[in-house]
Amino acid sequence: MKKILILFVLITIASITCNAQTTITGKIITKKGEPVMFANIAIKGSFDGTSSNLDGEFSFITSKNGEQIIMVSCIGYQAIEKAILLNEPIVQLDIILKPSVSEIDAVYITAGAFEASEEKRAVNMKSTDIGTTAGALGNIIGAIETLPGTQTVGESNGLFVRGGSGSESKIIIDEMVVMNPYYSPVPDIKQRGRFDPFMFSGMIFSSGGYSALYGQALSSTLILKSKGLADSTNTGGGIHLYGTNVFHTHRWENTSLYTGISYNNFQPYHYLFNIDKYNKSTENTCGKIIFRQKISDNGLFKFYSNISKTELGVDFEEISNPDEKYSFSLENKNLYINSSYREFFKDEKWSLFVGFSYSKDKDNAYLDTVNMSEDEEMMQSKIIVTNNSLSNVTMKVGGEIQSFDVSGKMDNSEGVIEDLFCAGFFEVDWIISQKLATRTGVRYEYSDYLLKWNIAPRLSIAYKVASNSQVSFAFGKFYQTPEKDFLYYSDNKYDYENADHYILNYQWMNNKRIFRIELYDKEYNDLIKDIPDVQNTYNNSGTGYARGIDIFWRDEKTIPLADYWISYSYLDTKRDYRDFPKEAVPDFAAKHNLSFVYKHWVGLINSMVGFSYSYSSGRPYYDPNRPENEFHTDYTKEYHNLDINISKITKLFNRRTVIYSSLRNVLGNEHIFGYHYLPDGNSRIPISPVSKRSFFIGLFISTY
Amino acid sequence: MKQYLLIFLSSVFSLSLLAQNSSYIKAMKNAITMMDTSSSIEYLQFAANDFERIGNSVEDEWLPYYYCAYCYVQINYLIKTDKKRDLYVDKAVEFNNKADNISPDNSEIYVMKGFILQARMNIEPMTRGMRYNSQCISMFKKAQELNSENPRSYLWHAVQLFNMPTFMGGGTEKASPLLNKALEKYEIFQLESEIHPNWGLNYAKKMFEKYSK
Repeated sequence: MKKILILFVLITIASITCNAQTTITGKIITKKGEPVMFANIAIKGSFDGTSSNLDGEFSFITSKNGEQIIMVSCIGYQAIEKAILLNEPIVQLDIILKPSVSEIDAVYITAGAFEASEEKRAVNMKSTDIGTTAGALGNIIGAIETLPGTQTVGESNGLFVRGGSGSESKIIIDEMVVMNPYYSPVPDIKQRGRFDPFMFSGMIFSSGGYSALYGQALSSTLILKSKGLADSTNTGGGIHLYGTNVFHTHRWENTSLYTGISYNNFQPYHYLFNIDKYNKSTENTCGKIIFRQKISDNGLFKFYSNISKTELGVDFEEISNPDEKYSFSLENKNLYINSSYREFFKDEKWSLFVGFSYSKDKDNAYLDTVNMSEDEEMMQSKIIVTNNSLSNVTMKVGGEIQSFDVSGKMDNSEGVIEDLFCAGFFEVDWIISQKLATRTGVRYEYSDYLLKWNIAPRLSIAYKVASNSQVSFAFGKFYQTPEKDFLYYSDNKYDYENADHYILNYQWMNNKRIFRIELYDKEYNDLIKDIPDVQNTYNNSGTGYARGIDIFWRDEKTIPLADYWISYSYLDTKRDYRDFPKEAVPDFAAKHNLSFVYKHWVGLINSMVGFSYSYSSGRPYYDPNRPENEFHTDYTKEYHNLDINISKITKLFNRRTVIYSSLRNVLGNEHIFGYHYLPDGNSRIPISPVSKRSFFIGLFISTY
Repeated sequence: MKQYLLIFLSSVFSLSLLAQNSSYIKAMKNAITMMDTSSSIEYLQFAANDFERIGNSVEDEWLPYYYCAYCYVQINYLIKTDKKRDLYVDKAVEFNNKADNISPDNSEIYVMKGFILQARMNIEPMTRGMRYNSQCISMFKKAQELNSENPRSYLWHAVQLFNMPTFMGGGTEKASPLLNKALEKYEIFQLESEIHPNWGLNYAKKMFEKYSK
């Protein structure tokens, strides 16, 4: 018995250890029959395997037999697993690998979109490009205005894109729309954006045809993504011609907290440069908190809050009597909170975004003795669920609720707008092949104030025509609730204003050079139009169009340590809306726009030196002396502007220090944006910037 | 009778474990030799593939994935086309993360994290420098915290500072003491086993020669 048992065990062991060996040999190729070199071939659960050679061939010996799983992987290709039967001394195995769609070689949607990012590589810009553009002065909008499709409008707030007005563009931070992205409007003086460009790690500037995740912008969205956890603990501050700021960032393992305050006062500057337009120089105090908490391996909670107070007063010339002035004064208080949580669930098939934002803005203005005040409150919550379980398909579904509470007072009249706005959206990104990608989306919106709903389809297609170039097309329908100035007159029943976008784009990108050309057509419908002869009555009978070509060239390669880009836009647009007596070019639209931005790193003085030049052809203005059929037929003179800046990086008190200086309108060109006429039409005054040139110098120091 | 059988079976079992372990060491040694002696993309890729296979079959060893990451970083430095380099650095990140999951709070893996960030930065120093510098340094600091005897944590920290301009907190003045410390630690470094990380000494000497002049 014993012997038999031992014998049995021995035989079993022998059969386990001395089994027959198998040679597996074959070739790894692509669909087209090209060899795939350096692929990794392995038998699952064993050491056995090898790499393919330069001809894609491989051969190895394994002691495994029976049914096994063979795994093949290679950089740039989709890994595969295959069952294989090892029952002969030599097994022949040829395998075809499919290329994986990597971020770099991938075809991606470019129609209408300019993307800047720190992480992604196939983008037109880097996030840092925004902050270092001459003339932008750390103002995001200033930098965006050097991109094609935009329009330099020096006298009012907002981004003017492809024949759209400033209110047709929306700024979105971490998926949520910002109600007051700019400092409160002052007549004829453009105000800065409220947000520091260095707080963002990514940006998509869409000049049309944007994603179904966003809405309520007839022309354009600027989608900003804020940074994650702060890199390190850091304390710093700055002093400049307009004010001062201090901040402290603390970084713990999974948490970071930024607190900062800034105080700006333009009085010394106005005094120094003899700018007498202000009776109270702009004074602004601002506090900021940025909190980040890592909740899980792939989950991050973000909180941002900004509270500020601004006061200013401006004197305007009385048109009928230039020696007399009337004054405008403004006090603004603003609170903004943006918080969100994003989680990528295990194996990254699902992700969830939940966001909440709150905005409160109080304007109290006097135009001479007339008091105008506006109180705006907005709350928004948004949810987005993303699924990636099908390879090459990304599905997003979600919704948002925005509640607005706006009240405006002018002297004794008062208007109130309360709206509960809901939207739902669904979007599918499908990379059909290495050459073809689509994005299809639909957005549903309902406004409780208008009592109207809308459904907006969106579609983008991109096709790779060669390894460095691709063609994209985008179509979309875009709805926007009429501006609040009209909504105050609540006895009017309105519908959404809307626009259809058609965009055709060609992009070539190679070795730090980019060329883009884009043709577009935008058809406006249901725009707000005055009902003639009755004051403050409007309907949705306005129409318009905008067509044009945008061209962009960027080159970071030709000149060492230098980077430049050129944007040109041709715009053909007309509208019949608001109080227009006939279809005409709106006063904010110029036919030709050109920007040239150049930056050069000068190592010798540790400085980035840059300039930017912009040109616009004349814009139409209203001359009341003209008969109605000659409405908007006079044009302002051409706009030329050259800005230069230098930022020097150095050390002060052994701390990292940046000295930044810039000069706007170096050549002293006269800028006229339009004219104000006296009602009798006899005299007029030009609308121009408060000073011909402007100068900035500042010193910023931080411990890191 | 039963007893015998049990003893017998358990000895067979442990023998096979031993066999597996020795073949693991053997495979690792082969791949390490290939990695150390080759400076071509081809052989580094072969070594990386070997490490990946070994890693997949033993599952709970961090070393194969760690070396695999190292190979991909080296391949990245040998590649000329900028846009492909990121793909290899991505691979390095992928494998080093696998190593990190198997062996959390491992000083060597934190050195590799910094080493990978350095590679990432090197692809586009102008635009990535600012962002990756501090992340990179925090990795080396963490590596020093986890094992103050790890010479590589000082060496690569020093390299980072040598490559960074003074206004960004770098410079020879700050880097040299770290390099000296690295050399000291290399002197007394206790190698855990013949397949544990033991690289960088030659580079440290080269750096020393370059900057002590």
